[in-house]
Amino acid sequence: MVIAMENGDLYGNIELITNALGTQGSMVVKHIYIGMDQPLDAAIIYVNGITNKDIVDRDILNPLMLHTRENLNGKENIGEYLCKRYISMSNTLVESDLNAVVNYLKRGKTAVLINGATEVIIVDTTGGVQRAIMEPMNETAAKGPRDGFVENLEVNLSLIRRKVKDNHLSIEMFNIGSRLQSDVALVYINNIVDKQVLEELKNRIKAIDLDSVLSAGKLEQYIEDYAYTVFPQAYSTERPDRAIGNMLEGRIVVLIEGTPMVLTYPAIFMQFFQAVEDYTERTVISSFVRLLRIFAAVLVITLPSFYLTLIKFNVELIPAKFVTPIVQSRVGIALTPFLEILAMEIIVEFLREGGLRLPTKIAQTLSLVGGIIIGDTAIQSKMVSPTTLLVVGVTVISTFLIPNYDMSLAIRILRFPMLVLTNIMGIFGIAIGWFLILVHLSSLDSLGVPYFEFHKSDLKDTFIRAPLWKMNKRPEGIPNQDSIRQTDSRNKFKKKR
Amino acid sequence: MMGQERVPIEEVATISGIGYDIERKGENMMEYSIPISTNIYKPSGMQVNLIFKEQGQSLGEIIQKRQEVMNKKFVQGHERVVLVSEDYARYGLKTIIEDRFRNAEVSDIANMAVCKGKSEDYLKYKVAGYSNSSEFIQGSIEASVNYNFFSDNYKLMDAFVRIGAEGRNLILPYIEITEEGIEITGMAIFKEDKLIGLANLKDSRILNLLRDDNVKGIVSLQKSPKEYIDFEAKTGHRKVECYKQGDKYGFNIDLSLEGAVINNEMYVDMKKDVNKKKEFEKDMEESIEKQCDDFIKIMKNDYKIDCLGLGREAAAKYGRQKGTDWNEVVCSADIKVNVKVKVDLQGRGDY
Amino acid sequence: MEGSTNKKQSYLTVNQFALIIFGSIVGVGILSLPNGVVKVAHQDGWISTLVGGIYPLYVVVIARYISKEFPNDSILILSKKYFGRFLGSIFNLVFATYFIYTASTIASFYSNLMRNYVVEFLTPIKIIVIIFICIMYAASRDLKVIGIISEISFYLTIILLLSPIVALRVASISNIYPVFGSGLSSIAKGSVKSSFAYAGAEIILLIYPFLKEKKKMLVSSLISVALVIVLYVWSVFITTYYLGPDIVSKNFWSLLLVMGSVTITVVNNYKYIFMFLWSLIAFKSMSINGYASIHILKDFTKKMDIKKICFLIYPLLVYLAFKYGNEISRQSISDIVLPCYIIFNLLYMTVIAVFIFFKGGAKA
Repeated sequence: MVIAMENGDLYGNIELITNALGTQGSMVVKHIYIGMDQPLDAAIIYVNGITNKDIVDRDILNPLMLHTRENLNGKENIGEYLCKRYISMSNTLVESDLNAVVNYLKRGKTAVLINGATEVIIVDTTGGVQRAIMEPMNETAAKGPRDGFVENLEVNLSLIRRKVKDNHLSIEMFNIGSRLQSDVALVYINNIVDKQVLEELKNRIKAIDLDSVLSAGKLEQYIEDYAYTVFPQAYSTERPDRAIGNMLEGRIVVLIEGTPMVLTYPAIFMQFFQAVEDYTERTVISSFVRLLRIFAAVLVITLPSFYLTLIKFNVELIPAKFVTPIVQSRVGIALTPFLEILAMEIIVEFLREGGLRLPTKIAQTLSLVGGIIIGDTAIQSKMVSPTTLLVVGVTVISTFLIPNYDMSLAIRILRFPMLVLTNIMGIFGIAIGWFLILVHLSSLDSLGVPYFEFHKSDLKDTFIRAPLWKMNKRPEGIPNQDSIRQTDSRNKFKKKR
Repeated sequence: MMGQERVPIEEVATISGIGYDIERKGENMMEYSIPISTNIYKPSGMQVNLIFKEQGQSLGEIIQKRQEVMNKKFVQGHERVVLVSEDYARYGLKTIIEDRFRNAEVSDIANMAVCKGKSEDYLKYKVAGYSNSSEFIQGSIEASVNYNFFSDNYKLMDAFVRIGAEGRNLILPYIEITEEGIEITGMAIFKEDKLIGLANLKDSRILNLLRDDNVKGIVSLQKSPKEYIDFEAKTGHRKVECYKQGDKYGFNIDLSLEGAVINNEMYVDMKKDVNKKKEFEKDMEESIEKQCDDFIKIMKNDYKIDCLGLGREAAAKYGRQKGTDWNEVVCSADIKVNVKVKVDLQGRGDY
Repeated sequence: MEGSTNKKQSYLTVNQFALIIFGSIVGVGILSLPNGVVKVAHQDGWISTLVGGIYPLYVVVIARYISKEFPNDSILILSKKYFGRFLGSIFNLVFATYFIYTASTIASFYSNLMRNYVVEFLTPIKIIVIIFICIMYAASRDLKVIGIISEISFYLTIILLLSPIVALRVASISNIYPVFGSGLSSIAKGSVKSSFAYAGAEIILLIYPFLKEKKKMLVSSLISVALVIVLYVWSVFITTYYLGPDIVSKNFWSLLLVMGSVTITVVNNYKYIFMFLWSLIAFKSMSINGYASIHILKDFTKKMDIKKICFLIYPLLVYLAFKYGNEISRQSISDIVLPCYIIFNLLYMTVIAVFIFFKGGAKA
């Protein structure tokens, strides 16, 4: 519904705008006089709470009310003239479409309406109180920057712009959600990103037709291909340096107004096992930690099932020295092995889920005390055996090693079906389970890019972390246009022996 | 077509040792007896050891009868030792090997030994400090590699590999119950799968020295009660050279021993004088060669088989699957042993 | 399999292409390969295995020649072109049955193996039914998925097959001597037996249109076949070396006995870890064969959707695998059926190549 300014009738226009904004109640209208001799009637409109009132007072009201010493009546292009002459604010424009004016008002800008003029001056006065930039809680790095994204889109974009001074940095804005009309920005580097993937992503975002997209998480679910898999298909982060790093490899960053988490597409499996500190710490240490992580992920899925196989089906496989302790701890246990392990796993999940809702201090105490008490009493009441508890405990600790929260949830879930398969079929079940997981992973793709593919040249950054100066090419897993990112510069200063 | 049921671990009795006995009950009747030593675990941490023995005409029958008396399903795979009574060994190991080989659960690395008398007595024997005797027996077999030149090739796997192979024969440790307890008193020598001879410890040492690579032991020279020297030696890789003159075969065995002098009361000043060292080395070489020759004579005349594995070397050179009886060939061949001794370490000093 | 321009048309990287070939040949057969070969050629079994490698090399060379002329048409299209639509389709169908046979035979082998060692409590029908559900799931996916799985299982295969390297120091070389002692005729007979284990390279005829970089086809497939030959010879060698030529034929799965020599301190029995990991390799082989058969059938019946074909083949595969029975009967069936298939495959390929040669390639 295009509301055009019929005439320069001030009060009529104000009413039109008020109706368009809806009964919000926090709209402010101030009437002023502009000019000497025959003063013009004017009004400024802004929405309280999202504007920086200092700018309104100092840069709009002050000059317009106090410093317009000429007769402006009947001047042509009054809007533009005022912008150039009196409004001492840097970001102004002139707009005649009332719809656009209303949009701007909703984003914290101020509108100056002049009686008799069909155009409106829009001044950028965005402000209002929001969260300060701090380090995200879940992703910390010792030697990296400590800023994190916030809820405000402009601030986020500014964080990126500050770090990326490349000419080819492109930002595309979209508007999604019919009621919320949230702003969504796609940020990428034009001559690195793969155009096909970009097109695909843009099509999907444009195709979204619903009321609201409140958060990045929801958006992710609307544009992903495979809804029923446990594996995340977008990589989410709160750190600008990670987002930018991903962008430089050919990915596209999606920022959503209102969520500090940004999404990067496309995503590949190994990416979820790379943490920030990997790149800021030393090579050998990082490689070791990476291997540990991958081992931990495998352990989480396999260890409980393997333990179940050993005690239930294949007793002869247990190493001779372990047989005595294991059997002794299991004599007289009430539950069958499968139920025992399942019960302990579920209790652990309870503790974890429960801890999420409570305030931090209580949650810590709860997990600790709950774990200890329940574990201890379970052993004493002969419900579970100590060895089982050990196995379950090790599994739980291993899940903490996975850096990305989405992926750790996925891996945690996988161990339950694996346990069930093992209970039915023994070690054959574990083999089947792993095979199915691998096949499933291989058939996933994120916006057309295969999810689980290994490229020989990428191995420098998957299981180990080769020295940074060796990673001359961008990873092949993400399609890109320009594959050289650095040249070997160390030979310039390395001493020749 | 029902699969064999599996039960969880607490309902399982693990076998720690298994024995094979035989008794001739009549003209054509042999009765087999398989005692097993199992571990029963109590919640309080106590471990009790029970022996179950059953007799029957065939091994399968025995297994069935045994399960009737046990209250837990027994599971193989943890057995430490397989004991064969001397009688059974003389009768032939084939049935045992067949039984062990077919069953996939069986632990291939259990130690095997031949025992004098009935294996049941050994499994029942209470050894102080051990919960069951099988552990002790296994431990002593494994520890025997340190002295007496025993190798660690006395496992079930080795029996599988040696019995059917061309030009190879099996030997196993022989244990007896003496006043001090269960002791290894020699080696049992097999032709194919039947026991044909027992060697005492002295002969066993030489047998092992000649037969295996990389074995350790102590050799000594003694002139009088006060003059003796002990040499702790390790053999290297045994080299066998096989030649043929017409129809007669010949073997040259080259052994090299290297080691430390641990007790020297015979050669004064061996530390300082290089010539003394050479003298000792030469004396030692001669002594060992003589011992070897003595043993080989015994082998040719008493045992009449090739227990040194020389047949395999000959087959490797002159062809396999020709139907040659390598035992005969080796016993009628010229066998010469050459020993090289090298003194490596001499300890802390000469007192 | 026709070059339909679907945007998601998957292309194989060079690695995946080579490793699918590798994966198609190296399946479960390698575990009992030493048995058959050593029984005939005794201690020279490894030489026979080496000689038997001629068969896959031949397949690769023929495929290269065919693909040079027709880089985008798989053998299915070519057979219809040169044999006429009716006869060509019949031949394609026989080709499909070859893959079905191989898949079911591998399943039977695997089920016997697992039941004997680790999962006696499962009946064969249970194992086979469940295996084929998973295989159908995998085989109904894109070729890309098959490629990725082959890649992963390749690395696994290398690690597993190289693990008996520790057996080298335990056994003695005299088990292998005298070289050539068995005589050339037994070596030749052994080669024929070993060539059965090499069956599987024919998959190259179906997948070469999907290779992105066609220039690298010959090199990559040759390297892959060479790797297979090396691994096979190594396996036969180490088995003979460790067990001696007389014992090898006593155990059904002689390579497993060699695995018993690998002693890791804590683990009681390395054999079981080996078998668990080997299961993945078995599944991969079955998936490749399943994929091949599904796609040939899809080409045969153009209207049917892949899911329907899967549902149709599934009972057939289960029934066949079940019917083969235990290891001994399976082996005797294989001894009769497999040579026929190999001869058929050889003729099929060679005749098409000859036709291309005479009738001129793409210009005809």
